[in-house]
Amino acid sequence: MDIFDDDMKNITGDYNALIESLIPERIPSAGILMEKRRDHNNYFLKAGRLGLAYILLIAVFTSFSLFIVNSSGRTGDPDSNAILNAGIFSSENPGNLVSAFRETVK
Amino acid sequence: MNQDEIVKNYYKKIYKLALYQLQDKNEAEDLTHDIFYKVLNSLGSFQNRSDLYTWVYRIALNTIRNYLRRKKIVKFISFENDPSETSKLLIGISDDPALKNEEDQEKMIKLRKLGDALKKLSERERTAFFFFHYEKMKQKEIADVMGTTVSAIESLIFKSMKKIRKYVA
Repeated sequence: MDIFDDDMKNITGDYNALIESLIPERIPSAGILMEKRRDHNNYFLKAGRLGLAYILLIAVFTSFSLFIVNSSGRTGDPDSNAILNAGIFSSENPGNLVSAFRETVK
Repeated sequence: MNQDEIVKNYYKKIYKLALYQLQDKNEAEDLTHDIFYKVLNSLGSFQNRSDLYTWVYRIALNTIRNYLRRKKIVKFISFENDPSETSKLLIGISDDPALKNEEDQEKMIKLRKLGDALKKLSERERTAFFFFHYEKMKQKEIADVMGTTVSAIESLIFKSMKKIRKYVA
């Protein structure tokens, strides 16, 4: 099974010694290990919840904005339609905000 | 065996396994804590069907496997590229002014090559090699811990040794 020659055995032995030299001498107690990990997990749980709340908030805000933009064109509201008709949302007529407002004011 | 005895008996072994698999001291320490949190939390469900060390090692291997998988995905998503894949364990040691003579430097080069070779092995090959060479476990014991057959373990050990010999030579 062992196909290593002496040189290879020496190198793997040295590598083992290197790894063992990096293992800490002090072993933490079970209580400390559990406490540390619980704090760590709680931190990530809180961060996760905060992240989720933030994403939800952005999603709600985006949906609401899209709803407003969409519905303004469908409701038949003349003021909203004037803005749409003036073409500020049109790629052919960009920057026509001033005339759109003039139309709305009329 | 109570919780403190389990930590006392297995902490260094699990730390060594994590260090060997991850080749990073900070990651190994963090993962060892994670493994013991799982072990101690699920100690109530241990039913003595296998030896305690088999059970502890299985939890450790699963945790390490999941961690490596997650790390791979994060690395892929973040476009992180580490072409050298050099073992972090040897960084700094090779620049030690104490290693002045040629023999030491040659040894360090070989150690670095071995570290790189271990990183290139599959997770299963690396695990089998570790248990066989560094923990001096019998093939039957390795098979129990890794949940496979003795012949599969023999094949994994043989393949890993062949690959390492090729990389290091």
